[in-house]
Amino acid sequence: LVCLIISSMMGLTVLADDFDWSRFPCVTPDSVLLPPGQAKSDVWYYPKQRGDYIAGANLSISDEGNGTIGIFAQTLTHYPIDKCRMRVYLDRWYENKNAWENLDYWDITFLKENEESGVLTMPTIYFHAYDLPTGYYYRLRGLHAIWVNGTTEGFSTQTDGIKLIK
Amino acid sequence: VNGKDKPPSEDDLIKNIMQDAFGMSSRECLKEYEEAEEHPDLSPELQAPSNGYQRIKDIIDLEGIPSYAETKGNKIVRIKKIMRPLVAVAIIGSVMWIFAMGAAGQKFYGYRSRIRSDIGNNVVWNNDSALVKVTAEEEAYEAIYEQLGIAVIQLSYKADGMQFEKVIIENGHSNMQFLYGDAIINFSQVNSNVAKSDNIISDPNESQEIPNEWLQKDINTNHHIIDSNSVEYNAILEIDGEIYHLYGVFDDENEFIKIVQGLSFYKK
Repeated sequence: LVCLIISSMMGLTVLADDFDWSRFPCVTPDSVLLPPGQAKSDVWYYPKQRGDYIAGANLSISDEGNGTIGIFAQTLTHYPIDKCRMRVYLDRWYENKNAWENLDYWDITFLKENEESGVLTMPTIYFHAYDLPTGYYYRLRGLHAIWVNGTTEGFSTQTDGIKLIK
Repeated sequence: VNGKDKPPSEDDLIKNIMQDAFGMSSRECLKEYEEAEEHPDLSPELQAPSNGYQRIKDIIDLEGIPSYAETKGNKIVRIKKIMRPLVAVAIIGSVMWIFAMGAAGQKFYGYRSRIRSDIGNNVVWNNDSALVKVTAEEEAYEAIYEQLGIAVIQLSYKADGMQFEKVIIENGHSNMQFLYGDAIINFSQVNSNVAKSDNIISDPNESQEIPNEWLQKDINTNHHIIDSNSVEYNAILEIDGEIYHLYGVFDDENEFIKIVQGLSFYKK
């Protein structure tokens, strides 16, 4: 119980600093469905509207086998930043509805105070999601937001859909 | 002490007991057991009665046989006394473990996750694996070569004051960062030979070809004005399906051009 309470408090400190992700919508109705056997969709985005800080972003989904997907997200900047938040959505393609539906999402926060060098330059996360039903298409959508010197910039990314077959 | 006076071993004792009890050796016992298992006796008189449990319970209720918990009452109390400090230690340990986890997670990136639904429980964060702990540029090239197995390109020329900061290699990607004044110069090298779909989505501006004699290629470059004072330059090239991308803010375009001209294959 104590552990749960402490865990909840740690989560709240993050959520208290809420961010209006709707300013940077990444929801799109379409994504390419890659042919079965394409085990990875890897996108590098470089903003068309150049901000001062965000230089680009990477988002990658990969079939790691046994219903496991690998999720890679990275935000690249022109200058060191104070903070970065990335939100990664996992969507599944429902053939009968002909639509993508969100299954889950994760928020990740990076702070320069937590860097060994005190400089935040390349926030990156790589993790796995397990026990997903195979035989279906999945895609990722990413939101990338940075804070520096009182300025905020946001950016969105989206992968193609890959079919989990391994 | 001669052999006859030697005390019997445990095996001998067991053998003797079995001989006394069943009149047969252990091997004979085992054989009989196996035969019984293969040909079980299904006689009705050997079957358990269908209401056996209820009959036992009735006997307990009738004769007032104390329950297991009642007979072990003293032991339970003693265990509780022992468990109290153990539970306290477990809670303190758990709390320390949580903080330790937080510290470990924050070591390099300081991420925190918010997991929304039940499948979120099936997520494992392994962010530390992304950071290759090298301090020297040379080691970074070596690590990229070892982990991605691609032809690695190095920066043979660097602008004055441009210093290697770090490298992240993960999931077929590598990105080296250099600090140049206040700015960051990124150099990505990506293995695209695995089954995947690589998309580079950008807005090609007016481009310029810069010849590179080391790679025997004309390298496509372009630039973007990112604010009133800064210009981002970038160069993208593809060699045997691998993608290489150098980009960053430079005050002096000539420095960027010299870096592009100095790109060469890394050799150990």
